[in-house]
Amino acid sequence: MLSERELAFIALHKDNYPRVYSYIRRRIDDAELAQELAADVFRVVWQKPQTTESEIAWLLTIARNLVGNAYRARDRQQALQEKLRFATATTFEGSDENAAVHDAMAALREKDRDILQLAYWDGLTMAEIAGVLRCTESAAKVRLHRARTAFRKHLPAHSESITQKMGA
Amino acid sequence: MDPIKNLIEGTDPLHADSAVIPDGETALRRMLFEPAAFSDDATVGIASLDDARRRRRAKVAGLVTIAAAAVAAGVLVAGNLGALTSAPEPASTVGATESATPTPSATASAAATPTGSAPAVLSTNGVACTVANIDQMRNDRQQVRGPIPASEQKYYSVLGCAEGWLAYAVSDDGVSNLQLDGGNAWYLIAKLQDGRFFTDFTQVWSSVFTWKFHALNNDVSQNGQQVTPQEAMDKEFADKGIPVELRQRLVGDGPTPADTGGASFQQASQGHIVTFQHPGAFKVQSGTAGQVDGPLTLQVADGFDTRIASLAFGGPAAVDFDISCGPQGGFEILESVPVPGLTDPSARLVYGVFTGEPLRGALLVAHVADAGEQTCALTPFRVDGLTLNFDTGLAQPSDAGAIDLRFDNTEVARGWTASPEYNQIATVLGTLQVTPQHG
Repeated sequence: MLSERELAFIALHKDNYPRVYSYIRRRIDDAELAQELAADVFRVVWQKPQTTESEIAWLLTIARNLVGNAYRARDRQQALQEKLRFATATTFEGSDENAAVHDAMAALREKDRDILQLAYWDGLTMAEIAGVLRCTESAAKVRLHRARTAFRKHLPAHSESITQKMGA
Repeated sequence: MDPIKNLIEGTDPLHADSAVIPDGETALRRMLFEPAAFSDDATVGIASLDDARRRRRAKVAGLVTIAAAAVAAGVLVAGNLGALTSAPEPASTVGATESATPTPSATASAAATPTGSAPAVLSTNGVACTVANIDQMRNDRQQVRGPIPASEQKYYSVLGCAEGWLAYAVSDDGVSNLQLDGGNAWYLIAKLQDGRFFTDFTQVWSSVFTWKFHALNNDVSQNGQQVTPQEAMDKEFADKGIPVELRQRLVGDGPTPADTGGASFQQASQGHIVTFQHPGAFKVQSGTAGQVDGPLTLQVADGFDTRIASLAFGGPAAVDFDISCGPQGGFEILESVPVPGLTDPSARLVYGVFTGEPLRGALLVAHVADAGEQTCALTPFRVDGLTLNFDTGLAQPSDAGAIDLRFDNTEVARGWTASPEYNQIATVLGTLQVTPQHG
């Protein structure tokens, strides 16, 4: 007979595993390690007391910490950025454009890049972003706005296709 | 239309990744049936003591129960588990003994092979100790006893047998080809019954943890004495009703410290022997210059050359610190465990965060005064009057090459204790021993 806590855990896992795994997989260049870290997220969840905050915000907060551990050293982060840049440039069509976008992202402060990825890679709502970043929704909106402004400034001015997309 | 959104979405790594996101139920089954702390990577090292206990407790008291109940309740489809149809029923002794009732499958890695290989031809009570003579009964709805299929016998190997008992293991290839969901954590046990060896997976004695597991999850008995892998294995034998005197003949002698996948550091200093364990990929960089047996200073670096711990024993390098902790102090203790290798029970391995923004974490061996009070104090541990510093994170984050333990909040800092990195560092600090040098 499953207890209420056990049922809740299974439901939590089923509802959120794809998003947790996807969040980690975007940031870890190793599918097997991403699976292990995703499992670690839920192991931490099982061991820690329930919280009243948004489930996905709670899970991604733990995931962020575990991913951060995997790339804590500055040189490892740089290696990851290089890997992502290379993978982006060689994987996508219109690679120059995507490489320019990635360069703009890489030039951002970590906080700005972080919120842009949460919003546009992970598809989190503002409320969920606020939960992950441990701030109010208003503060999250302000941060996203600033991050978008910073991103726009780092795009190369000479890139016609990009500026066309920007509506400039 | 949001051009910025579109541009950034276009660089989403998963858009270009053709790999499928793993099925959630499959991932849940893997998590429930696999032990939490295993890796063939030598850098994993030894799990922290309390963390290992928590993991096992969670697995035993919770997740394994979930596994069994979830299959029984149809939440997990038993048919998808392949040869492994469900976890065994949790034993009533689970909570009291902390011995897990694991899934009825195990893999034998090279590290798990007992030292002192068994002779080529084994028998007990007139029956040859071979895989062909082993029957198994799964803890499934059918509960049918039957021999291991001939095509699968190649995946099993007998470890030893004596007085009607037999121990055996499944190879890594076996786990893969048989699609077993167990982890690399158990040896299987069979008892001679009606002329054949029989592994009844409904019984607690049907499996014991491997040497690798016992070495990685060394528990600490209530009196603070560190338990060796051999003592842990013997205790598991006793708890499960397997004759302890047969342990050596069934699963061998077990590993010495050098076999655990890690390494040991040892150096004489000021009439004492200083030792600690560390993952094999870590490096110890001694900063001690001058006379042999003098004050000791060293740094420990991980496989990426990041300094993860500093030690100073005696001399000017060892400093007297006084860190206020507790609700009214400036340092919040998140975890505190004994250091068995230091004879004084007041020696603790403490993990916590300095208040501030962001929070700065630190692990340190220290003496804790007034623990539990509104204001407590962390001071250096002393051995025969010699000051001992062994810590991580007390250096400023800006120190080039040193580990940076900054966290956004306490929850994140707590979450770090679940990481392999924390376990590695806790291993290094927690295995510290300082003993008098004789002779």
